Amino acid sequence: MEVTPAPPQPARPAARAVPPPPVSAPGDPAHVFDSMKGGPLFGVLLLDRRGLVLAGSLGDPQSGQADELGAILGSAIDEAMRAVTHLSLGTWQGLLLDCETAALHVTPIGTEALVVVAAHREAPAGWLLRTAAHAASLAERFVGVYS
Amino acid sequence: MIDVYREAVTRLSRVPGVSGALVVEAAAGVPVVEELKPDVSGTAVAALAAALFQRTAQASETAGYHGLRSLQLDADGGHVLIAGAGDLVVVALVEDDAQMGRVRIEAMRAARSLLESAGSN
Repeated sequence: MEVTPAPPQPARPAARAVPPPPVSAPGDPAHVFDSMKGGPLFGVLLLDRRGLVLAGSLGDPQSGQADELGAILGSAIDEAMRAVTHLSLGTWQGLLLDCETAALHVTPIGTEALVVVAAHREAPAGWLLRTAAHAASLAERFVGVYS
Repeated sequence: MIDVYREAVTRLSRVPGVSGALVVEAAAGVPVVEELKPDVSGTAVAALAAALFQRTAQASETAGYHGLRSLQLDADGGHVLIAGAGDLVVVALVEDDAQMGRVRIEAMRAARSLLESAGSN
């Protein structure tokens, strides 16, 4: 019986490189606050004290304005700190803004960062304060990892 | 007109936990009517509140959220509540343990009364 040699097998491809982690991996700046999505929440932004976006997004039609918001909010915070110092109110804890089309809350994260929560303007103030506290704890964890 | 301002300030300062109230000319940052404790400078509070409101309103506009209606600054020793009323702002200095819900309602009511008064003149 004639034995036919097996046809040559194509070379096995080299082992593939380990794929990069998915974008939703913990620590991905864009998705730090994804667990909070839903309800009247537009989005959450983590800014440094210079107004640069560190993480998050506003997630609404105005999200392209996140950088501009960050840039100009810094000077508003300086005014807030000046008022708190002058009135001997201790340490500032937050700023609740009632705008025509949104409700915003700004919370300091240490001395070097701010977390901004944006929600529908009809969002109850108490809900916004609690949501801001939750966002602040997520932000503190994120900042802690990268400090 | 000044009676409307005075009434708004008097009414707001009677809310439990409110330690002082004033109506401020927003652009100039000067007090129009004030009811404050003797050791608090109305001139300084007016200037600080107007600057804070204007800067924050600018941030709101920039972000596409349009005009700023009110602002609440929270600190561990108390709160400052500022409500916009056209060219004016209503400012309330609030103690730490105050019922903020009620203070917010009264401040917004005061701002509305100022706006209505301006509209009818």
